[in-house]
Amino acid sequence: MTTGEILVIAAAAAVFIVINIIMWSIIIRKERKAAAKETAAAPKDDSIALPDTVPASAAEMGFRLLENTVIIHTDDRI
Amino acid sequence: MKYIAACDTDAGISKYNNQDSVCVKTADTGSGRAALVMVCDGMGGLSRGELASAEVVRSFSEWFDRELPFELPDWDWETAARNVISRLRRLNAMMVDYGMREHLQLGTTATGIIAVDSKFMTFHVGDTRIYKISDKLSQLTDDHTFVNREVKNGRMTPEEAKTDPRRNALVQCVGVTADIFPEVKLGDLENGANYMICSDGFRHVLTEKELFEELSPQTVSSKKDMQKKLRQLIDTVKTREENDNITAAMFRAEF
Repeated sequence: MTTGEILVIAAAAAVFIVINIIMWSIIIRKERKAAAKETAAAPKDDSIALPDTVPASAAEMGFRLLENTVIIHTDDRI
Repeated sequence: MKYIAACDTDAGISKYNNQDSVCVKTADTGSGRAALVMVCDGMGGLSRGELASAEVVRSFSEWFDRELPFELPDWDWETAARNVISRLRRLNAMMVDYGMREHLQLGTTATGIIAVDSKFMTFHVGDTRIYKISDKLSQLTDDHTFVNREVKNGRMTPEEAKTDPRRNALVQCVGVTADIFPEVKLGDLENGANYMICSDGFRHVLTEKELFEELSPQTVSSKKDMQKKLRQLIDTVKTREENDNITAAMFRAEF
């Protein structure tokens, strides 16, 4: 193999490596962007507090909530 | 008479959001005690499962706050049972209609306990379970699953059911089929027994022996005990790589 041929192969390999580096850095950047977007859009796992809705007339009858835990994960309604 | 209740829920290790909803309410009625403890497991495979479970829990929660106080003077368990069945059927019809309009499929289990003084009612649609833990562990509900129906009809053995690929398929849940047939049972509360309601995500990787040992009335007798044990069991479930949302609620009456 001549020196010229070796140089051509080396140049091709170098170009191949450079193209790969550029391609993978673009892919990684895109993936990071998508992951950040997904996190921002994630539904919250926090529970949503519902107000105590005992009417005044019921309270007058002696009805009083002692424990009131309602855990739901959306405030959308049907 | 004293009612003690607590609940806990967790999205789990692999689900992006928590589709379960849970409600624990106790009240001094002026002449005694009343409680509503329920767990709804929004369907994982269906879109907007969290909306379905939240809608059912909201409906019962609002009933407890706004309607129950006025029903109590003439309280009758048979009427109450009919009203619960009607409420679940109305919610089912509303969700089916919403799903058709919005081109969505949403569904949820609905399982709970309503207690007034020393008596209680269980209501149930789906595969969320109610256990009574006293000197032994008893399952108070029947799973509305395909495999359970097959086992009952003698077409499958309990061993086959455990590994059948259809073991999670429900034969009824709120929001999917045109009509539902909720299971309602009436009973007397057992003094000092613990009642536990849990989603399938909570119980899949725990044995009945573990549930009995960890939640027995001797081990768990206060609200603080309940909160601590439920969290501890949820953490255990997560370490065993359960993929579903994990929810449980506990209730105990002392008189």
